[in-house]
Order: sequence, then structure tokens, then C-alpha cells
Amino acid sequence: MGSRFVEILRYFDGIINQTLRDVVSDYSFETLALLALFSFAYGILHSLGPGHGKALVASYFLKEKHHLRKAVFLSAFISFVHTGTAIILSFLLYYVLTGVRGIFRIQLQSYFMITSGIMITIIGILFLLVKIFHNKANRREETSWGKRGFLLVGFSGGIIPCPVSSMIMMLTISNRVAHIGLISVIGISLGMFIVLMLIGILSISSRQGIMIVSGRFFKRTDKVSKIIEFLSIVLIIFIGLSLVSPLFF
Amino acid sequence: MKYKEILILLSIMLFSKLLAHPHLFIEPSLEFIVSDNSIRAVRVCWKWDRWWSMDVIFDCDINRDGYLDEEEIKLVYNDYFKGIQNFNYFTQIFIDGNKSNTGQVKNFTAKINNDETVSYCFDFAVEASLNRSVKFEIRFEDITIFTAFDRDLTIKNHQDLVYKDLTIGMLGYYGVKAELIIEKKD
Repeated sequence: MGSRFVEILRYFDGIINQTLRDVVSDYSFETLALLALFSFAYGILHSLGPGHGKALVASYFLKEKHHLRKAVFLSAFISFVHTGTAIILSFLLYYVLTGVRGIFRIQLQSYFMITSGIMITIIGILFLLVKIFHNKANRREETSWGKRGFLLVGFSGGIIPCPVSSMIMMLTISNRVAHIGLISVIGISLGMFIVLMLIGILSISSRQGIMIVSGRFFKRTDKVSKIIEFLSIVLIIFIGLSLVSPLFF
Repeated sequence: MKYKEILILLSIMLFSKLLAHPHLFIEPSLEFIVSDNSIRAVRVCWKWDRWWSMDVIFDCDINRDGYLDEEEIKLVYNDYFKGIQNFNYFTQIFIDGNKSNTGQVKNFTAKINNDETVSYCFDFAVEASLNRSVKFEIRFEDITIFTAFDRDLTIKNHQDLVYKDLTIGMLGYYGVKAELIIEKKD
């Protein structure tokens, strides 16, 4: 399965590269539209791999009851940050950090990954602390933290720049056609948004499902809810730690 | 219906690691360098994907002539290769079950191919007498899962060698390994 997945990814990788070269060398609206389409498909495909906040989104929405609308907002925010970081980084690498090349750019990627991991771990721990010390008196504080937590989860989940988006932007910036790169990158971002949103919605529905199913076996579904909540927080901390792990191994 | 949703979510979370995706792709090939009745080196060639190649060409083909000269190859080595020394150049070599040192490479060279991709070739020094058959196992794997190696690993024929029991298979998520027994041709 993994091998087939890589073949498909590689195929799209090559096709985006070729289409981008075609648009840059001989612009036509049709080729640009094709590029946007391939980019969108690639965005869907490549965000099926880890590191795109999938597990984070799933854990976050399993944690407690959420409205479906929130899944749309969080997915859009993560996709926006993920792609935005890549665009900003590309401009920085091309105009400012000109000495950072080749393998060092990949190392830069791993620094972003570790930063993201540290942030996710801290957020997970904060979720845990808020949950442990929560009581009815400070419910308002918890709600306020929940809003900030939502934004922090989105930011930390998306902060690792998309390498393909960076490469697309670098190529188009160097050819003075950054707007073409932006169209491709937005396509990738939209694909990613769709995947994350579906996972968010799936998580919210799954949580409801777990509550309904558990209601058939246990009288105290509030206990089941608490267990899911704690497990989700532990999972968030685990996701953060796994991103930080290259620091220790 | 609810069971189905829970199962789908669990599958996505459990198998997300399995679907870890690389961003760079390499088509590897191998060659054995023989002298004085011994295998002295394993020459590895990597053909890179078009994105990485594009980066290398953009940064290292300074005079834009579509050819990498000696100075430009040095640039490729320093900026686009040396950094993976910490990962033993993604390579492990076992001779009769004993691990060979892959921390150093020799004779690094790079070229731009006709299809605008870039290939690197370099040697790992080894020592294997051909007085008897030798078992080689060569592995390519990037443990960070950033680079995928093509499963169609090719091993170049050598006029003095016979390859037996050759098997090529997957290694880890996106690595490849080759096992073979090498004998001297009669």
C-alpha cells in the first residue's frame, strides 16, 4: 500500500513540476487551469500523510462536543498557516536567507517540525491542566481558554511549511511569475482543507457515535465522555512529543 | 452508521504513519568495483526527482550551460550532498552479515541528465575477497521518511562477476534493499 501511495505521489509530483514549467515557459489559461487542478488533487493526496494536522484535528474534535462549523474553521486555519508559512519562507529564502540552500533547507524544515511539536505538547499539557483543575466556578475561564486553544491548535498544527509549496514558490519567484506559484499553492491548500475538514467532521460525528453506542452499555455516559476527553488530550501530547522526538534520537 | 464512522476515524489515525509521505524521490543503482581479485568498492548512483534536480541545477549550474563542471560539482557536494553524512548517506552495506562503514564516500560526481534530472554517483570503500562467494546486502533508507527510494533498484553487470540469489525488496516505509551472493566468473 505504501509503495503504491509513493508511486501516485511521485506521479503527481512530476506532473505538477512539468505543468508548472509549461505555464512558466509558455503561458496559457488552459495550462494554468490544469496546474490548479493537479495542485488541488495533490493537496488532497499529500495531506493524507502525517504532519498535516490530521491526527491533531481528530484528537481535538474528539476531545469534547463541537459544532461542525468549527471543523471548517480549524481546517481552513491550519491550511492557511501551513501554506502561508511556505510562501513567506520561500520569499525569505530567495531574497534574504540566500545562504540557506540544499540540504540545509530540509534541515530548516525539521526545525519547524520541532517548534510545532513543542507548541502542540505545551497546548496538550495546558488542556490537561485546565481539565484537571476545572470546576464549575471557573467555567468561564475554561471557555475563554478554549477559544485561545482553538487558535493555538490551528497555528501549531499548520506551522510546518509545505515543502512542495515552498519549491513551487521558489521556482515561480525566480522566474518572476510568483502569481502562478500562488495559484498552484492555493490549489494545494484547498485540497488540504478538504481533507482536514472531512476528518474534523468525521471526528465530531464519531464522538457523537461513541456517546450513543456507549449509552447502550453504560448508564453514566458522562464518564465515557470524560475518558474520551482525557484520551484525546493524551493523544495531543503524544503527537507533540513524536514531532519533538528527533531532538532526542 | 455510527460504528462505521468510528472505524473510519480509527483507521485514519492508526494508519497515518503507514501513509507517511516523502517529498524527495531517488532511483538508485549499484555497481561493484573490482581489482586484484577483490571487490574494492560499491558504486552507488542516485537519480533524483525533478524538484530536487531543479533546485540543484538552479543553485549549482552557475554558468547555466546545462553541464556540471568540477567547481559546480564541488558546490553540489557541499550544499546538496554532504549534509546527509550524518545519516550515513542513507546507505547500509553488509558483507557476509558484517556491517561495513558507510560514513565516508569517495569519487563523488554529479551530472545533469537529458531529462533535466540530476544524478549523483559515489563510492563506498569495501573489502571482499573473491576467492569464495560473498554475500552482500545493500540498504537504502532515509529514516526521516523525507526521501523515498525507488523499488526498481538496478545492479549493473560486471564482466568478472556472477550474481546469485538476487532479491530486491522494500525496507521500512520507503526504503529498498538488495541481497545477493557474488562469485567470480570462471
